[in-house]
Formats: sequence, C-alpha cells, structure tokens
Amino acid sequence: MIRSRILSRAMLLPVFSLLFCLLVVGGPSAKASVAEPLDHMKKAVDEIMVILQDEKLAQPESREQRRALVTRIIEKNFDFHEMSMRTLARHWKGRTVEEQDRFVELFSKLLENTYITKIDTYAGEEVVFKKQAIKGDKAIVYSHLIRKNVETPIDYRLKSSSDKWMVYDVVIEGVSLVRNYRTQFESILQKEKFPVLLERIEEKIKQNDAALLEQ
Amino acid sequence: MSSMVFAGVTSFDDDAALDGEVAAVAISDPLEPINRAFFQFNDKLYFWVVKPVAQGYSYFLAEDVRICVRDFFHNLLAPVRIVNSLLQGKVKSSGIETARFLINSTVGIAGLADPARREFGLAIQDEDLGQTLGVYGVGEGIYLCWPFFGPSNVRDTVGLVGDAFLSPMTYITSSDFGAGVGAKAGSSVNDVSLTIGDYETFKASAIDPYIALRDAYFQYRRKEIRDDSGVKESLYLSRVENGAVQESGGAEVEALQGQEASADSFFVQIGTTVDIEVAMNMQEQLRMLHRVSLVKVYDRGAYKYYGVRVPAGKIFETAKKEEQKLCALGFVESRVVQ
Repeated sequence: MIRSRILSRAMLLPVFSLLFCLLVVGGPSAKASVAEPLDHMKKAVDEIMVILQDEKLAQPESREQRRALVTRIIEKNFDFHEMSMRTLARHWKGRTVEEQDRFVELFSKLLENTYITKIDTYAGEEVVFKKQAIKGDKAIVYSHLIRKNVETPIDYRLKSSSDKWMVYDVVIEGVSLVRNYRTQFESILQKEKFPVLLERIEEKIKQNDAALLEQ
Repeated sequence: MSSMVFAGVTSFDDDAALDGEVAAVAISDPLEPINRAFFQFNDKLYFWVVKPVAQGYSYFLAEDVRICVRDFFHNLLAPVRIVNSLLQGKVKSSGIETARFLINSTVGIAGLADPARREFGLAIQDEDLGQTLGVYGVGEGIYLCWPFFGPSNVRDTVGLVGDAFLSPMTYITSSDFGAGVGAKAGSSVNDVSLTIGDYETFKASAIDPYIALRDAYFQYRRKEIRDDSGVKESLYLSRVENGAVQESGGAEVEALQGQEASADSFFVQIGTTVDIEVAMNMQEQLRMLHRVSLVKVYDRGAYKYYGVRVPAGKIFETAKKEEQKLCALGFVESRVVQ
C-alpha cells in the first residue's frame, strides 16, 4: 500500500516536469512558472556569497577568476539595457541605435567595474531578504545588508521579461541608482553634447581599471 | 468619487521619466560654484587628512573597540532622536529610543555596546530636527555643501543648529572648546575608520561626484522624512474638459507616487489641457488657498498635468475636504487613491 503510493508519486514526477516544460515553452502562460522575485534575488545573491566565501578564490592570484565569476552572475541578473534607458530618460529617444548600444556597453562596464572593486574588499557582510511586492511585470525585493553591526536597506527593483526577473534599479538607503545617474547625465547633457558624455564615462572606466591594476 | 486601491506597498519606479517629463522642482543650487569649491575642499580633507589619520588610528585600535566608540557617541545623541520623534508625533519611536537609551547606558555600559538592538530587537529610530521640519512641510531651501560638515540644505542646517542644543557635545565645547572640538573630530575619525573605502567607491562610480552626492543627499533625506508612518494615501484629480474627462493613466499616477507621494503627505494630481500659464495661475491659487506646493509639471503636448502636494501631517479626512474645495474650483472628476 505504502509502496504503491511512493511509486505513483515517483511516476507523477516526470509528468509534472513535462508539464513544467510545456508551461515554460507555452508563451504567455510561462509567467506561471517564473520564480518569485524574492527567491530569484536570494538565489543570485547566494551564488555570489558562495564565491565570496570561497577561501581559494580569495587568494590574490585567483582574484581575476573571482571577478569574472561574479561578473557573470551580475550579467545574468541585471538588465543593463533597461537601466541605460532609464538613466538617459528623455535623452534616450533622440539617440541612434549605435549610440544607444555604445552607451549600454559603457554604462554596464562602469557599473560592473565599480561593483567589482567592492567585491575585493568583501569582509563578511551578510544579506537578509525581508519581503517582496509585485505589481504586474514589476517587483520590488526588500533586503538588508549587515556590515559591522550596521543594517543598510537595499531594495531591488525588478522587471520580468519573458521568463525571468531582471534587476533594473537598486535603491540603497532610499537612494535610487538609476535616479542618481539620471541627475548626473541630465546635468552633463545640459551643457555638453552626447559624445562628450560617452567620453567622460570611458575616461572614468579607464581610471577605475588603472586603480584596479594597482591593487 | 470612487476609491482606487494600488496593490503593493510603494512606488513602482518612474516610467514617466522615459517619456521626457520636465521636472519643475529640481534641486535648487544657486550657490553651485561655492558649493563645488567646498566639495573639493572636503574631498582633499578626506584624502589628505581624515583618511590617513583614520588608517593610523585603526592600526592601533581593533575594529570591535572602534564599533564600541561609534555606539558610545551614537548613544549620547539619543536625546535628539527622542525629542524629534515626539515632535513628529511618533510616540512609539520616542518610546523605543528612550528604552534604547536606558538599556544601552546601563547594561550597555555607558553606551559602549548596543544590547538594546541585539537582545531586545530595538532598532535605532533615526530622527533629527531637519526631518521634523520636513514632516511639518518646511521645504529644503537651497542646497548647501559645508566645509567639514558636507552636504546639507537650508532646512537641515537649521535643524543641525537646533539639534546641537540637545547634544552633550555642545556643552563640552562651551566649557572647554578644545575638548569639544576634539571629541567631535575623534568621533568623525572613528566613523571614517569603519567605512574606509566607501567614499572611494562612490567617487569611482560617479561621472560627476558633486552632482552624485547632491542627488544622493536629496534622495536620502526625502526617504528619511517620509519614513515609517505607514500611511500611504494620496489624491488623484482630473478635470472635465469639453465634456470629456481628462485623466492620466495609472502608470503615470504610479510614477508620481513613486517619486513624490509619501507617507506624510497627500498627492494631488490635476489633469488639464489648458495652456501652461493658466495652469500656473491655477497652481498659485491652490497654493494660496490650501498651502499646497507644486511638485511637477508634466508636458505631453496637448495634455499637461500638474502634481501638487498637500502639507504633511494631515489625516485622510482632511485631504478629502481639500479635494472637495478643489472640486469647487472646477475639478469635477476626482479620485481618492489609497
């Protein structure tokens, strides 16, 4: 009796997984299978934590490898295109596709290389996920970063595209990253032409790269 | 009048920004050249003086000790937080801060440890006079970047001076100037020693660090002021034009809510197709009549709309009355958003 129940459950499993696959493939209904945004963020941050806590990877000679591993997770979970659009705001529309692509490329490079320097100084920080709010294709995941007994609230804003949640803004202590860059770019573009902005970002990346090499 | 419920707790980001609205109230910074000079001064002060001192200091003192020092100075400022919580009518917050002060000053050995948080789960209630003034509807005034003190604005500077009366450090300074300034500098160096690298990362990430800091300060203070009262109410008004109701879509309301509506103020949004001057006059009238302030002007070709904020500290019923007054001015269709 017991045995047959286990057996039938075991048989159900492939059926379920098949169903699951169908759902994923099956267009609009795919939403049903998208992970909860909080779980999604938690998984991504856990993956990064595993890398950061790996003592082998923390050695100076594996620094490059560690950076590359973390960058890969970031690229999988951050929607740099959406972020770029939102930071350029009203200046996005007037740009050519080439200019837009170049901007996305530079802006994501800038974010990655500043985030990466933070990773090198990782010292036992913890992340606690609190709650989530979902509305339509948008979500906010609320978390706290705990460092030296100080809790810093960090909210991730996510958007679901086709099959997964992607981060398009990070709000630290009430300060939105996208808004902060938007204000900077707006002020620069009031005085300068678009290529000048691109140059300034490029220059910043070069400076940061040089500083990274010095370490 | 119909009631609309917005799912979720907050503020889903600013999609409207993509369509190119004009922010009518940006950060006012007429003293930018001077502020930039002081920003540079603080920057050099950090790299040439504070950072090396903090690094030397942290070489001699273990991190645990430095965390104790930080908590000690923080505990000294409990009166500031208690009084300001009370001034904002946050009885619970002032109770928490009082309990924290009592526990940490005794069990926590003069505030060197923070058992109130660790053992009793009582979190710090960050309140100051600048925030209190903000809650009562006092505007930020122009942006100021002070040498030594860093980013601020007129309101928060007034707040800082007011709070100084509640700080024991002020009384040390008045009896022994050197000791007071020394204690203040010591506490700053101690704080910096715990966060070395943060300013560097901030500078590395910013294309224009001056603007980045100014905006971060603005956003951060806005968040602190609208914090934790748990009330999320706003008004949404539209106007009837040529027999048809002119109103803006949910996404726009949402975007406005995200940026401007807050726990302690009500948001009134007015849709209109009249030209900008007429609308501005209307705003002025509203401002005089109801002490509301203009938040934003959105321009979408033929259709413009305006967001105004009802002063903070008013309850929902009051906001509804405000709304009725607005209806008398010609805003026929209205909604209450909660």
